[in-house]
Amino acid sequence: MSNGVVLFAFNNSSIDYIKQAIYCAKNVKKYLNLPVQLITDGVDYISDTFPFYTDYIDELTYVPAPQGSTKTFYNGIYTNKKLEWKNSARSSAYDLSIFEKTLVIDTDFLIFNNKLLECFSSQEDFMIAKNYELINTNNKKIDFTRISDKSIPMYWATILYFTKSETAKTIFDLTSHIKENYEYYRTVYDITESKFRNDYAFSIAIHMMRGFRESPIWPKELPGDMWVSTDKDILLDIKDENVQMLAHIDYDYLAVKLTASNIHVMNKFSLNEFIDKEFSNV
Amino acid sequence: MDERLEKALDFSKFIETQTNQKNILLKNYKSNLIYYAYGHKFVATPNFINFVNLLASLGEKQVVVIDDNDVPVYVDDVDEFYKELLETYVHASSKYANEFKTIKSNRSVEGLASL
Repeated sequence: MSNGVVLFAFNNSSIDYIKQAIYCAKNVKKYLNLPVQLITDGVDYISDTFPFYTDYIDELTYVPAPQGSTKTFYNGIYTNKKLEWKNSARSSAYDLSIFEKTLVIDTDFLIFNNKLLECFSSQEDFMIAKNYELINTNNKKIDFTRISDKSIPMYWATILYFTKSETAKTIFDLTSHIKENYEYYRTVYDITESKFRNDYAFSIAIHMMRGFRESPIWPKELPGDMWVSTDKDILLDIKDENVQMLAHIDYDYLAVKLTASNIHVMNKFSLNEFIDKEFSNV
Repeated sequence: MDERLEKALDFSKFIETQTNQKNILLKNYKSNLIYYAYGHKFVATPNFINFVNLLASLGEKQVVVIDDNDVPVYVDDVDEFYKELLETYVHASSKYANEFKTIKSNRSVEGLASL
């Protein structure tokens, strides 16, 4: 197969990423009409629990779950849980993808338009999300533009596009190297957060590959939009291409509606609640 | 709570929600103005559309334009390119206008965020 979407899903004790992956794939089918490959350790779980998954996922690839770290997951402003976070498999996307041209997206990235299809007709071998918009457009307190205050621009591994090419292979190999030596790179790039993040590893790899300088020349910006809701925001409902959310402002919420926009929903609890409701009718 | 204060706070919440929805519309409008052709990115601004129209009116078959990343691009069919750019602009602008009108006509937070 030449073009397709790759998703990674590794469940922890509270968050069902596999369920998210099926919902995410459902939107991929609807808006991008591309085949979907799910890379997961839960091959038996998906078949037993969601037998309808084959409507949306074309290929299942088993890999063991990567080593996890502990992360605080918020569910709105007031509640949170410390849970295992197994996010470090992303750098293997190049080797595991069955496609010639691959779009990798997070399972909590919900697609509601077809703009990302433009990737596949571009001449680029590697693209990654950089620009984003917060759903509370007035919120200046949250800044995801740099990996640390004194350091380099941040790229989001939430959406990656690559072709089977030398350039893409180099960047994935470099990201694996950074992952293996993360403590060193974390110190060099002044990253305060101790747990490994794909966003940081790819940001460092990009910085190194373009000669340790900031430049808009490479990699090119991904087509389309990326709206970001943090885990302190709450997903209320989705109807067709309309998404209703509550965005947090300090200790209060602001009602938000997005239409035909791609959105990264970091509050996994409210996303899972919504998907449960959706799948109860399947 | 004093009724006057409550009303003022409700209004402030409404204005904040309305402003946010307007900002979202504007950002989406700018995103919808982007047009991809020949594997390159262009923005369908009135200036660029006029410039391409001028090139088309000169009767040139193949022209060079500079994309949004400052890369030169050979355009083989300038008439078609102009038509697509104009369509992108018209579609994005009319979507923006319709959605803006809906926001302006809603007088409550519930109405602004309803699905």
